[in-house]
Amino acid sequence: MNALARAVSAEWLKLRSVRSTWWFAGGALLTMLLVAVLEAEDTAGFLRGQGRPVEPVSSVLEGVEWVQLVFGSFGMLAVTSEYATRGIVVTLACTPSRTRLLLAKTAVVGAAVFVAGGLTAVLGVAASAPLLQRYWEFDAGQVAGRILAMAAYMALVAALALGLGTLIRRSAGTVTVLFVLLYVLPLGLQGVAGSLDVELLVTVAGFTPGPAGERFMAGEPAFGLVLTAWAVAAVVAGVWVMRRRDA
Amino acid sequence: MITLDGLTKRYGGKTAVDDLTLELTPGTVTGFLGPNGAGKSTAMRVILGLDAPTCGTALIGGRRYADLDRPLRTVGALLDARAVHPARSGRDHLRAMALSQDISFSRVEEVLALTGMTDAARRRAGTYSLGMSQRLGIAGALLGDPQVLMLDEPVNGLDPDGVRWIRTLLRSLAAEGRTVFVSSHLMSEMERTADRLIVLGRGRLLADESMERLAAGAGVRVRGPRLLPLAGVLPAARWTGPEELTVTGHTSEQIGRRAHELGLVLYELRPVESSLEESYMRLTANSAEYGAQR
Repeated sequence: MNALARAVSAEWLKLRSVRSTWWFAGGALLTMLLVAVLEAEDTAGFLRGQGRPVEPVSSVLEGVEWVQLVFGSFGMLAVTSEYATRGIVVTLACTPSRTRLLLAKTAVVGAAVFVAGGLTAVLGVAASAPLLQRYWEFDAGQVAGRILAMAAYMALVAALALGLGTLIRRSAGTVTVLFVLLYVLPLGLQGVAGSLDVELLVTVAGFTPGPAGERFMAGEPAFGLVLTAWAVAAVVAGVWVMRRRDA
Repeated sequence: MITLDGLTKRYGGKTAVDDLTLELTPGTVTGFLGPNGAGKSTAMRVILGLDAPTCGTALIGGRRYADLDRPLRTVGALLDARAVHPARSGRDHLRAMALSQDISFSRVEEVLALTGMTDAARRRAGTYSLGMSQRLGIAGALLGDPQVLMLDEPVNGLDPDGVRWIRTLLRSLAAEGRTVFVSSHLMSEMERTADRLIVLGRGRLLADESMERLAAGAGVRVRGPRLLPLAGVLPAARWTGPEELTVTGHTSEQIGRRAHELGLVLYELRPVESSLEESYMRLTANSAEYGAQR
């Protein structure tokens, strides 16, 4: 096995050998089901009067807004928990190349969240079905495409959080920055743009991870590149800093 | 073999390791001794590539640690026994290390058995006592069957049986031709384990001696009613009591002869024996970072 494959298999074992990983998966699923069902009920009540068709993934899209923080925290912990427990000393002794280590961690976290996120979305659609079925036109290909986009979005948010976690090293600080980046920044930019009447800021707000993700999941693949750029930038910055910093 | 050449590490304005040059040879246990904060751990961290040296180099068999392909197969290290994820079992901790080095899981079971951790391997590492954590850390260091072993304070938290076990283990590893580098702030521990001692104080090399030389360096104790003339002719003599001198650099025979020439009465003339601790204290007297000032 080459060095990267070895690091990946080690990181994968590390991830699945702590109970918190499974708590995160369960937490994400529970959050998704709760939000999706509530949202579906809401939509169903609204549609009862209108009789317009609805997209099968509509309620799940709302769920992603919440679940992304769960998966983001999960991605972050892949690094920050190592600093908190000082386990980073052993990890770096095993894999001295910081680039290789973070690539391995990103690959493992990204793949795990892609699978878990996709599964969560599928179950979210299934849970919404009894409430929304009557109003939706189910196109299996389209639904599958949307679910893959959501899974990719959540995986990219987890990678972004992993990069931020590497930069900041502490969990509390990383969650704060992630929250600001995902929720506060776009709203803030739009607010400033509104009061100063600067159209450019609205455009900028649209390219922050949250809004870009919404458009990506709504079926604009180009915004997937924007998200990928965010995640890559965070991980590359993490590698760059880690290479220059004492462990 | 580990080679340090002019190794210096500063954190901000504080110099942790100051121009350290030394070579560690196979087949010996080298004790790395110094008070807390002397720079022992820092030097080890730099050797492992955890911290970058400010200047100088630290090489293992001529290569930097970061350039080793499967480093645990060359260097096994234990720096911090508590540096383990508390929710992961001891066995999974070692298995993850093994996967990163292409080491089989059966080797994991071997080192678990060797360190007496087989029964505890299923438990989460957070439930281990300090002694068990040390054993797990040593299991990790032995995992890759490395030629170089580097252990930072491995006897911390071990019970007397554990201490004896470590001592025997280190001796046998050196006897197999490996390079064993072990740090401690306790001279008494090194006395029984090491062939060679490197004493560090405030980051600087204070002594690099074989065990016997350092023991001999403690001097000869001379007791008598009127020693002033003797102190006058022996510049290396120190008063260690009202009627007592400690002389370094001379054998008992030489001192006895001198005393006879000066016509002095001696009550006692003997080499100071269990004196390693004293030599160590003397060497580090001025360099203890948080030494008692009064």
